[in-house]
Amino acid sequence: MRDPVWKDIEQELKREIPVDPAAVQRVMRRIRESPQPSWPVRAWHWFVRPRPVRISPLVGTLAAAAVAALLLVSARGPAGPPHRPGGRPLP
Amino acid sequence: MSDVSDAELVRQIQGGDAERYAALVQRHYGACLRFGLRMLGNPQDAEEAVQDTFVRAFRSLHRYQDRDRFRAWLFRILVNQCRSVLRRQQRRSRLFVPYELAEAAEPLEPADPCWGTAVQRALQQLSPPLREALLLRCVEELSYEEIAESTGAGASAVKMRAMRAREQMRRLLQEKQNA
Repeated sequence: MRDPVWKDIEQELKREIPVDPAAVQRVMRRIRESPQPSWPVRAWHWFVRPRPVRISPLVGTLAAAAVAALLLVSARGPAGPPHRPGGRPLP
Repeated sequence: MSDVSDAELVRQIQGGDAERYAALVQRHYGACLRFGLRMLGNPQDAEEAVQDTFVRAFRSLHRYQDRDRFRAWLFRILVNQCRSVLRRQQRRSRLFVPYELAEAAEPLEPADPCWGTAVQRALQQLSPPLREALLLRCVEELSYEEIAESTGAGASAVKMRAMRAREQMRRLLQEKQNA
């Protein structure tokens, strides 16, 4: 059961405060009057802002496989001279 | 307008449509003013803190990333703004007059002005960290994690503060309520 004293306190604290209708306009006026950041600054923030990326499990698996294949190929390095079955390099 | 989410509005503003910010201000101004008024105790300071909060939020909006929690982010700025005003109030050694709230702002007059004044008076007796925690949790209904981010305290400390604040308010007002 809820505490009746607290219920009355909460009700009073949650009472809505009437807002001056001009208040929003005052905020917007201050914003319009304030200088905007220059375009390089805005462009930089646009570039560095992380974004959520959604991919399907299939695409995720394919991407992981592609990365693994790339790593494997680069680890093997460039192909050397062909070898004889005995192990000696061909002349 | 009202069915557009905060996240969508933020996206539009970040895309360059600054005028859409008015919709966000309209949506959150009342709650911010209520918090400011309860925290600071006088309408002028509250209004100033809220106005500054919205201007600061707009200027920082290009850095805002967590689009789904705009309200919590806004309250984080407001909490800092209120703390600055509280420090200024302390420097000026201006004493809070509890009944100023009911007198100066006529629309605030509750059904029972004595009860409203008593609640505000009790609130002012709490330390600012307790007041913050109580208002953000019980009035603005932010999660403990969001309050922790807003106030810089740990989630468990916030939980404890909210509980202590609630208990103190209850104790301070129980006699009044019984009367």
